[in-house]
Amino acid sequence: MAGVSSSAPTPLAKYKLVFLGDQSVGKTSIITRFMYDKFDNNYQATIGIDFLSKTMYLEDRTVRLQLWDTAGQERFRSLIPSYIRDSSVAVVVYDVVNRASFINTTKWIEEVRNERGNDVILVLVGNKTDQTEKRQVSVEEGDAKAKEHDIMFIETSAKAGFNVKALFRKIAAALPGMENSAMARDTDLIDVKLNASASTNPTASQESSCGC
Amino acid sequence: MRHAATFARWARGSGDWRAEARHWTPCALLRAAARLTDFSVRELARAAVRLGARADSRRRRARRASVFRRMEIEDELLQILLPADRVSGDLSDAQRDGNTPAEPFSLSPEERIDRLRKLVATHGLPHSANEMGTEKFGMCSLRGIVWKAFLGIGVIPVHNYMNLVAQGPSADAEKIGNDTIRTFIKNVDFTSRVSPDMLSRVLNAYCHARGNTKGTYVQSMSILCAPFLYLMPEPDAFESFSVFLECHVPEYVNNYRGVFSAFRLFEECLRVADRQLYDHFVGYQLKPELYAFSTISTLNACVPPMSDTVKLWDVQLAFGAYWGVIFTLARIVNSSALLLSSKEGPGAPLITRELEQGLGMNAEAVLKLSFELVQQFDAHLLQRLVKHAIQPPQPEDAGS
Repeated sequence: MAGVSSSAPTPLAKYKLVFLGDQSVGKTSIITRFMYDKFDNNYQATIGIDFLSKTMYLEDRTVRLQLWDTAGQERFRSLIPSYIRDSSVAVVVYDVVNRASFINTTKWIEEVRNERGNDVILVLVGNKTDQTEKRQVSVEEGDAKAKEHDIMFIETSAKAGFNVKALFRKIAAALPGMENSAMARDTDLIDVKLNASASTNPTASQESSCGC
Repeated sequence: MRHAATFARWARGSGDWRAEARHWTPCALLRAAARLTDFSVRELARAAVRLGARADSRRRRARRASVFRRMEIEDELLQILLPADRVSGDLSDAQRDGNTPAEPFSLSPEERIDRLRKLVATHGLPHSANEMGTEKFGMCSLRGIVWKAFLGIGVIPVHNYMNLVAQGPSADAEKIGNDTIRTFIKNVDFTSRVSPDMLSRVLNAYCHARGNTKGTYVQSMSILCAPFLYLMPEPDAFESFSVFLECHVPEYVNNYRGVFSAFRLFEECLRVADRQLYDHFVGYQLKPELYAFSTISTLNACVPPMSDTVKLWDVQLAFGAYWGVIFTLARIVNSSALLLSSKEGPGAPLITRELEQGLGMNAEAVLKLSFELVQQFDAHLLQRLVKHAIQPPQPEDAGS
């Protein structure tokens, strides 16, 4: 298992990332691609919640990410606020071939804002871009929604491995407290607070070819 | 002999057996089962001595205290199985055996179910109990037959199921399809017996039977349906699944009310069973909602392998769905040392997906510990446990 030992004398900075979104949009797939660089067409539906943790080695620092993979199912919704609590990052995922899942991201974003206000990094993720011919949500629409809510945006394909690493790099770069962290030095990401114009950040597409 | 002949026809699912099958009782099945398997009375007696004291959770203390009571249980088991061991011919021979005291055929259905429960608790069903399509039992596995007995299902109205299937996809078909194509899809033992189509037919039929209102199917229901299809033909699985949801876990289904009650009860149980681990979880600010959601809400069916799940389900179908909470508890307490040694800091969800997969189920160890743990709970806690899956929370339960 990753990240059991760390040579750093100071404890690892730990962050909680909660993944939200409708059923079958690919939350588990994105996480599994990130964790193990694997993809499977049929993951068992997440029941309630699933946890994974991973140490992420960045160029100048190391962070411990706790990934909270939630179920998209409706009878589980009442528990969602308690899972969002204390999260540093909320990743709201939709499926670009399922318009309803895109529309519902508004509710998920509100859910996060209600619980965390502006004290959280919010990322909107449009997944399944590999299914080009079935697309129901354009990249422009996704981008517009992210701007409207002043949050980050990226499109991914967990299946093709497209942009998944980029998503996590983007998140890592924006983590709160990073600028004050003992491990954070000469970061070139000065404006990364909690909103940022990251949705227009071109690095996403530049890094898109990694990891597949 | 009438019972044996009826049973044989019933088991094969053929002939004009329905009227007679109402008189069928599990005891007759047990005799047949015992003949089919490697049960030996001596082995059983040894098992009874070992486990006899734990047979019945409600009266367990009295039993444990009394050696005589232990011997009684042994005798009861011998009574059920002795004829089968002795007689190699037709089942009717057993009944003609005048030496058998307290002839089981003279018992009431309730008494026979009670014996079946005891057998399940003290010895478990034979290894071959999952086999389907055998000459003796027909399409349904022996375990499936025993489950149906616990669910109070005798005659399967096959036409009812066929008519429901004929109605085609239900209003929730898409959601069902989303789940069925990924229900235990990696489990070869399961997929060799149950196809996504079978699951889909049963679940759509379930929705039709409930009026086909959108939202009748809720995500993960397929997991609760899976064990039935693993052991039974579709019509039997459909009937059993329906009765199970409606009578055994009504509070777990459309909302998670019963599951939420289970979390609070789980905490109380853990506090009694393993104070150190309880404190550890408290220190980590971990609630059962976080680390035991999937296991409690699916009565442990989500943890592979299915061959272990069904052993646990024997007991929870026999005695009540609340055993699901106790099994989850036993599984976690069994892993106590591992969990206590975690180096993650407070706030970390200790039971990660990797750990969860690594723990497995190990039904034998879980059952053994469960029977021990349950003896530590007081009557009030047990009473609330028993009720939580079948009754809405009562005002007097709150805050106690």
